Amino acid sequence: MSQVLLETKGLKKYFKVGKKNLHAVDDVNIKINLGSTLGIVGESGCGKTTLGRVILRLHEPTGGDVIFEGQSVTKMSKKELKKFHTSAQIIFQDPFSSLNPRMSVEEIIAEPMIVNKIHKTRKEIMKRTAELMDIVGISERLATAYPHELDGGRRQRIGIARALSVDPKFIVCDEPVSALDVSIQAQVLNLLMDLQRDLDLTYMFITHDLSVVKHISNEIAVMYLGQCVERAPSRELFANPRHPYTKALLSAIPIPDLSMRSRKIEIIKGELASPIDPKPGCRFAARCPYVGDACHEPQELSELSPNHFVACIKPL
Amino acid sequence: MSEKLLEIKDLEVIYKTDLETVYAVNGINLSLNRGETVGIVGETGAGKTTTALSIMRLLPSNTGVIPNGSITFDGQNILTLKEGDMRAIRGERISMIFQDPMTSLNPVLSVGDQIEEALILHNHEKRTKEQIKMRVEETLELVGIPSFRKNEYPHQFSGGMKQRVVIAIALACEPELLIADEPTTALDVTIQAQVLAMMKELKDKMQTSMIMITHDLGIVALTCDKVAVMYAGEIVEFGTVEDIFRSEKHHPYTIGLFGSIPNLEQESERLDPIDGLMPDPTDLPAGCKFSPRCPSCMEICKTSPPNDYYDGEHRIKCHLFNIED
Repeated sequence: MSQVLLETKGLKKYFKVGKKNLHAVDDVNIKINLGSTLGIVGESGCGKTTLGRVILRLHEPTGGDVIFEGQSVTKMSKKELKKFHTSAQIIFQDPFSSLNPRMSVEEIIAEPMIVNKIHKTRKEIMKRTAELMDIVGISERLATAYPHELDGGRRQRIGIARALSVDPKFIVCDEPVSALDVSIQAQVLNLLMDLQRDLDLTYMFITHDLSVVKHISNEIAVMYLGQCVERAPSRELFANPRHPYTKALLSAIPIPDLSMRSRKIEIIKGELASPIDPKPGCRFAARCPYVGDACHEPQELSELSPNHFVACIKPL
Repeated sequence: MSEKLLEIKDLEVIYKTDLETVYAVNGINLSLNRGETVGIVGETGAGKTTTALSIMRLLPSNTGVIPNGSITFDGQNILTLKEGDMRAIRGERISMIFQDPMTSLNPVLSVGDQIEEALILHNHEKRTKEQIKMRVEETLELVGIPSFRKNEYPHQFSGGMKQRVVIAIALACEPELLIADEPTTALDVTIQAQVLAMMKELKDKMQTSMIMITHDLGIVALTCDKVAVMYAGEIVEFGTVEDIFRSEKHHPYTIGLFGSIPNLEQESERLDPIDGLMPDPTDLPAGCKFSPRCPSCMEICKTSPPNDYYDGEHRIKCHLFNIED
C-alpha cells in the first residue's frame, strides 16, 4: 500500500532576478505514496505552483532531484521525458487561459493522444475522446464546441479529460477549483475523487484553500516562502499543528458555523517577506509570535512523531 | 438603535442591449437598520454586485435600467434624486469598497492624494488644507498604514495593504453605510483575517452600517447580523445569522450551498453539490428560478413563482413551506 511513487530530494528552483536569486522552491523534500493524495498548501507566492512544475520538469530545477518510480526525472533524456509525461500530467489553475481558444473540445482532448501516438487510428482516438468526455461528464453535443462557449466548470472538466487522455498514474492538480463557484467547485472535487478511486490515480493537490485540501488529501505539506515547514497526515495536521505558521493559517480560515464566532483568531502580523535572496534561518521568524534568537539558525525538517515533520526549533 | 437606514422595495434591474435583455435583479426586498451588518451571499451572477451598484446609483447608464422598485436611504428615495443631490450622498454617506484592490486604485496618484480627493470633494466642514492633510494621515493610521507612506504609489503596496488603502478611502468621510463588495476575495487567508478583524473593529468604532457581499459563508458567520441568500436575482432566503445557520427550515439552494463546502470539523466522504448550472439571466425559467436544479422540485414550481414564507423575520421563497401550511 505505502509504495512510494514520487519523491523529491533537496529540490531547488531559483529564478534569476537581475543579479539576485529568487528562491521559489528551496530544498523541498516530499514523498507521495501510490494511490494517495498529497496536498500542498500555502499563500500566494510561496512556491506551490513552481514546485508542481519543477516536479514535472516543466521548469528545469536548480538543484536536487525528483525520483519517479525509481527513476531520476532530472536526468531523463528528451525521449524519456516525453514518456514520463504520459504517466505524469498536470491540471492547470485557470480554465480560462489553459485551453486553446481555436481548438474545439474534442480536438483539445485528442491532442495529447495524437502527439504521444497512443492510439494508431483516428477512429480509436475519437472513440477514446468520446469515452473521456463521458467520464468527466461533458455531454456529447459539446464535442465541437469551443472553449469560449463553455462555463468555468465545464472548461475545467475538459482540462481534466485532457490530462487523463494519456492514462497517467500521477496528476499534479494546480488549484483546479479555485476559479470556480462553490457549487461547481464541489462537483469538480467529487469528480476528481471518483476518478482517483476508479483509475487508481495519485494526486499532488496544490491549493490555498485549507478546507478543500483537508477534504481531498491523505497527507498535507505546508509551504512558506519556498520551503516546506510542516508535513503530516491530514487529520493529524488539523488536529495538532506544530509549526506556528500552520497554526496561524488554520486559525485564519473563516468557518461557516456560529459557534466559531467568538473563537479567538490568532492574527499574524505583517506580510510575506521577499523571496529574493532571503536571510538564512527560519523564514517565518519575522512574523512569528514565538520568535527567539535561535530562529536565525537554519531550520531542518525533523520528524517529531511518526510521519509528522516540522521545521521549527521549538515546535508548539 | 433599530432605526431603519436603508430599505429596498421590489427592486428590479435589467441590462438592456440591442441583442438581449439580462434580468439581473428580479424584485428584491431588503432593509437595514443603523449599526447592522447584512450579508449578501450567492454565486457569480446572482445579482449581488448589481444590487450594490444600484444603491450607489452606479449602474452603467447606457444599459442598466431600473424598471421597478425603490431604494429608500434615510427617508429619501435615492432612485429619483437628481445626479447632483446623489453626488452629495455617494462617497460621503454611502461608500463602497470594491472587490479588486489591484484595479480599483489609480496607479498614477499617490495613495495620500486618493484619500484626499474624497475629502476635498465632500468638504462640508470647511476644513482647511492643513486639516485635510491631518485627516488623511489619521485615516491611514486608522487602517493600520503608517502615515509616512502617504506619498507612495499603489504599486509600492502589497495586495492586503492596497485593500487597506481602498478601505481608508471609503471611510475617510465617515459614511453611514458601507458597502463591501467581496473585500477579501483577492487576499490570502492570513491577510484576509487581518483585514476582516480591522473592518469589524472600525465598524464598531464608527457605528457604520454595512452590507457585506461575499460568496464565503465563513465570512458571513464571522461578520454579519443578518443574511440574504441570493440566487438568479432573487433573495431566496433572508434571516438573522441564527436563522440561516441554526434553523431547521431552509431554501433548497441554501442547503445546497452549505453541502458544497468541505466541512473542517467533520469527516465526510463526498460533498453534496447542487447539480447543474445557474440559469441564463437572459432566459430565466418560469416559476421558481431554482426549479431546474432543485432536488425537491414539484409540479407547481415549474409554473408559478413561489411567494415568501414567513417565520418571524426569517423568510424563504419556496413552495415547500407554503404548501405545508
